[in-house]
Amino acid sequence: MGLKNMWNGLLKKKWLRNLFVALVLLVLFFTLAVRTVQPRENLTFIEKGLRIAASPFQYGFKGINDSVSGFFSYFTEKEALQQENDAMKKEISQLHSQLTQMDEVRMENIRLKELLGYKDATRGQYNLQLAEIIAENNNNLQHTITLDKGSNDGVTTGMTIMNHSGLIGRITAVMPESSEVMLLPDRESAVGARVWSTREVIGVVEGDGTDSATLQMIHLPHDADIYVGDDIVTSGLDGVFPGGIHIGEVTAIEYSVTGLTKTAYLKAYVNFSRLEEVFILMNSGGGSGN
Amino acid sequence: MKGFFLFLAAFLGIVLRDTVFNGLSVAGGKPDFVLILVVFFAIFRGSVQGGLMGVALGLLEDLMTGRFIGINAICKGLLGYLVGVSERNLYKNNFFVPIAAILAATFLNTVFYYLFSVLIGGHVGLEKLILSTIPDAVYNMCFSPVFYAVFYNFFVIKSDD
Repeated sequence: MGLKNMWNGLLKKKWLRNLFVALVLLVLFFTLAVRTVQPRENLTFIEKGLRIAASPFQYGFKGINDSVSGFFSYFTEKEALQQENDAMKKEISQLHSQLTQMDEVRMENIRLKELLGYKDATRGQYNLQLAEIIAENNNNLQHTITLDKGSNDGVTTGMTIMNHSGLIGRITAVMPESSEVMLLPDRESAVGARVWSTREVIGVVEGDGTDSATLQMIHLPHDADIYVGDDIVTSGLDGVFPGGIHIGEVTAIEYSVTGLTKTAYLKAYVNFSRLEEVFILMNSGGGSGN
Repeated sequence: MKGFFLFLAAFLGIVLRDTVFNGLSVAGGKPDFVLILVVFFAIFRGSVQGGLMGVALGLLEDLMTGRFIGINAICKGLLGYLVGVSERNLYKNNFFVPIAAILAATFLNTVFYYLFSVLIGGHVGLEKLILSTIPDAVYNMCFSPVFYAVFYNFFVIKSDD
């Protein structure tokens, strides 16, 4: 009874009451933040509701964004575009000659496959769906983008996102008209990977948390055959990403303090700061969608 | 009613930041409309209401864009409270007050964000965080006079009528 009176007396003091409320809120949200720091399979219904409500605005503002960016880029990128144009013309002529050689190789390949009775390995391997980015949320704690395709288009969580340059990330949340992608540079994103040429060195690639272009391949044995310039591709062993998708090129190798392991730093093939259209790999991710 | 408009403004501000201002991002910096709303609300309504509004709008931001629910609620709540505490010492008719308040609040928010991110076990690049805070602050300061004029109209002129 005395304790109850004391409690009531304390609550009557305004500053004590405010302090109590502040502490309760702090503990509540801190606990919530700690519990949600690990990647989650599904969003809460409030999060989904808010993101569904934001989708029409994101679509609408995307149009403004394109116009504004286009207006400014006309001035800022004109010279750069001219140079790029010259370089591309040169590249096109080189590619034409390469294409002729490639055609010959392709024909030879087809003949050899027929001879060996192999099925065409690449045709039908990837079922790709083009998607546009309608919002980006790249801050210091997370790297995510929002795509204009959702569960109505058959998208489910876990699906792989890529473009012509390489791996981009995976779908982490799906709304009816949109979906969210956790990008490769996000520290919570991890990909099973290996060296493309030798196909032997297997490790895990993740973002290094500093910038969106640098990735790191961690926990490699000290004697692993991996060198600067090696091409790193997905291993397909993580059960999330299909194998053989290009990730990045090794730019540096650093040994751990103990010398037992080493870390390879990669420059991602994908330019994450200039993403516009991406491909959703519809036949990937195990379809754990919601 | 004012609360509803603040929520609506914060909602649209978050969507604008992640869409339109992606194309207008300077050195990785984008305006933080939620921060501007919380700071100005706290200037006119004091520490308790400022803190609670900070928590509410920060939570909205977490639920709309974040995976880590709570971090913006804590940071913006603390920010609203601290700005509200110093509200009595601020001369609200001075044009430079909102700009200075926003500058200080942006850097303070970065400090809170970093501290709580580390405490919850998130991975934050400190160097990148500091570098992106400068353009963030410039962006926020550019928008602050417009927002301040609206708040001043709502909380001072309309209240006097």
